Amino acid sequence: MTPPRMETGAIGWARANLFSSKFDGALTITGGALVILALWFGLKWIFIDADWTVIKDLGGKLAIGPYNTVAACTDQNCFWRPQTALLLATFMVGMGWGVTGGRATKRIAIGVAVILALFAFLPYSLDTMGLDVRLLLAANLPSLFLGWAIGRYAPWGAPTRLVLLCTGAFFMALALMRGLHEGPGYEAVSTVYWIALACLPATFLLTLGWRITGNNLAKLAAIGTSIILALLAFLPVGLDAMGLGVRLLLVANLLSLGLGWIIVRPPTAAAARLVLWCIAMFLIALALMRGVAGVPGLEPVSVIYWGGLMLNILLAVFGIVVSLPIGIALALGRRSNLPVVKLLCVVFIEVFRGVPLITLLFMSQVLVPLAFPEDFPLNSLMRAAIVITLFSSAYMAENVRGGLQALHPGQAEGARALGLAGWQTTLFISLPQAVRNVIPAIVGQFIALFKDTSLVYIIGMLDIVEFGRAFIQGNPEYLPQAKELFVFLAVVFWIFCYTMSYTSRRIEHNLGVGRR
Amino acid sequence: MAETNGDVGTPDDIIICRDVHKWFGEFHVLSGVTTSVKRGEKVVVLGPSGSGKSTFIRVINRLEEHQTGDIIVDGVPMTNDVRNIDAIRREVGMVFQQFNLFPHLSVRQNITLGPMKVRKWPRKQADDVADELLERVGIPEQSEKYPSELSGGQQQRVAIARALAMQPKIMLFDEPTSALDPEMIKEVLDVMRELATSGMTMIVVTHEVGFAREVADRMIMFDEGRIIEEAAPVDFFISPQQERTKLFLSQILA
Repeated sequence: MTPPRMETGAIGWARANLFSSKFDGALTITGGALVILALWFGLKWIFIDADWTVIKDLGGKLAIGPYNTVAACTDQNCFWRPQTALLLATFMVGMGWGVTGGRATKRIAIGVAVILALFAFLPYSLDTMGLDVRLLLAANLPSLFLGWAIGRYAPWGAPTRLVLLCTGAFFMALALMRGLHEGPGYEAVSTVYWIALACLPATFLLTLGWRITGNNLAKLAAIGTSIILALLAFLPVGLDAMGLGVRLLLVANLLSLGLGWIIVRPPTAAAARLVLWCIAMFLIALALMRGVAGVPGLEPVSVIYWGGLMLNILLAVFGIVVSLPIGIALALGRRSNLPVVKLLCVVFIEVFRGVPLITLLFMSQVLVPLAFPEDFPLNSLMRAAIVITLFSSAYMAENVRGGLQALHPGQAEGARALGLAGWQTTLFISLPQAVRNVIPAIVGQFIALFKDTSLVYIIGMLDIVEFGRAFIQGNPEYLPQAKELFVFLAVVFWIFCYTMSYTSRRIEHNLGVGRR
Repeated sequence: MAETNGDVGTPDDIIICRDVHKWFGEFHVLSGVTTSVKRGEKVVVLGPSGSGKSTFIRVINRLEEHQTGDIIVDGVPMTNDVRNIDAIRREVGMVFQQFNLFPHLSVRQNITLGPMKVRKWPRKQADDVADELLERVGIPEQSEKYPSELSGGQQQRVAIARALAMQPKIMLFDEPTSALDPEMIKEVLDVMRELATSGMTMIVVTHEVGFAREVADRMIMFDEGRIIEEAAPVDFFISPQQERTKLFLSQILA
């Protein structure tokens, strides 16, 4: 017996899917007509009616806000700094592609390259953009390729990572010092600063030596040093003479000791190395943007001049990276058997979920400083970043908790029967499965976080939306083009959000969510 | 069973239970269990559902906490001391009815996780042991697959390999074939038979009478939280002493 003949080809497909009944046929025709009409008017508006000069005239300012204005950078040209940060970012995109070799990262990298190439090579607004900007934009393409090549072919030894991490730590320390520049007691302790700073590589090498040689004397020295550093950093003596900055540097020394310890047995997985690179690049970019006091060409730019898309991305990246671990910790805390821990986590989550983000942002300006020492160098950007992160981590906690609830109790039993300790069961069995199962919810939260970064206009920061709006308000001749501007901004946001959504779908696919 | 009390606590015994009690709320699930298991002994536990047989083997590695009485496993008393519990769990492997494989890890990773994280073996050694064990349970070619890509019988054999990778002295089986299709039961029982001949101490909760007759050194019959009858399989199946046992056997042998 042969199977009944199926209709194939375009006509067969259309008959099966579009015109399987009279009603379906009517729907198809109506729907098709609507789509054609929408396309017609949409495309006509985009290509004929709309006047895109506002985008052209705003140009790179949409990306960096008032960063490169005279007020922000007196007597210097700061434009190369965000540009260099962009170079680092494209480098990381390329490296992501090189390391994972996956379809998603490849497509994202190519997408980024195409967008950059468009901006660099299209023959528009030749007068406003300038050749140097175009050249810097074009330089992103080799940077992306370099990242790919290193990620794909470079056998990263420990020395590479060492240099990279040291550089990152160094810039971080410099940025920190710059922030403390005006702090009380700075003049008196500036020498101590430099000594503590100079200790960073020394402490690092100390533990490195211990780990490589396994020498007991080195071990003793490393442990002794860390105890002395910790005492100096945390003991409440000499508060006035030492100042917060020196204490922070001492803590940095402790971290440097720890770094020396792990670097000997670095993460073997390429993905973990990629994360380390990303962190280092992020810190370097941040130090670049912030500037370093005393270094020619790197004069500090106050964060009140940071703006545009750069600000949105900075807040979102910081929020995403920090809120996920905090959220996981809160979720675990909420399921803890220890009543105090549980109560604290519940209170935290419910408070931050129960208050609108706008209110939190307002409150951040007055309340966040209360949580820090008086001379702590907090600026409005950091306050906003902290509040957005905490807000997001409360939602993240509930997402992760949902994933933990859904796990079969047999999983934990199986792990315990193997002899795994409680924390090992959580780390290796429960969390990976829980997080994997709630990837859509987590990425949803990431997307919401990215869009919510626009709310910082409330505390006077010029994010991309607010910057555009303020530009139109300040230049009434552009008023008729408000709709073009906001359509453009919508497209920019959509590109980022869709990229996140697409990446999450690919990750789910690769992890086999729903299949195993 | 008064006469078994005398046996409890000889140096040969690897598991000793004295008057073990456990309640789930008001329900008295174990009411005075006293027995012991010798090194290398194979014990099959029978009983109607709710009789406490699963709970009995789960208190032996502290998946359930007993409330009164003594349990001593390989010389280590079961107390609230985490070090004792960890020491016991390292020596006791367990196979579950629902396999409880970790779905996010490959077959090989399922097997090497315990040895690497608990016994701190290097990856190479753990991988070698995993390959050896997969060979032994008859699925050497599946090591890179994920549990959901295997049949039930294969999954249970991986679960056995996972427990064996920790090189336990005792293996507990909690109805290992109850969730399997009939043709897969045999492949799992074959692995368990082979394990029995290797001299492993085994406590098996199962309704597979054929397996019990062939492998068991001793049968234990549970009812209402106590051991009502203990005997060698020959005596147990041919001339059970208790009415409850006779009734139960007539039902499962029917």
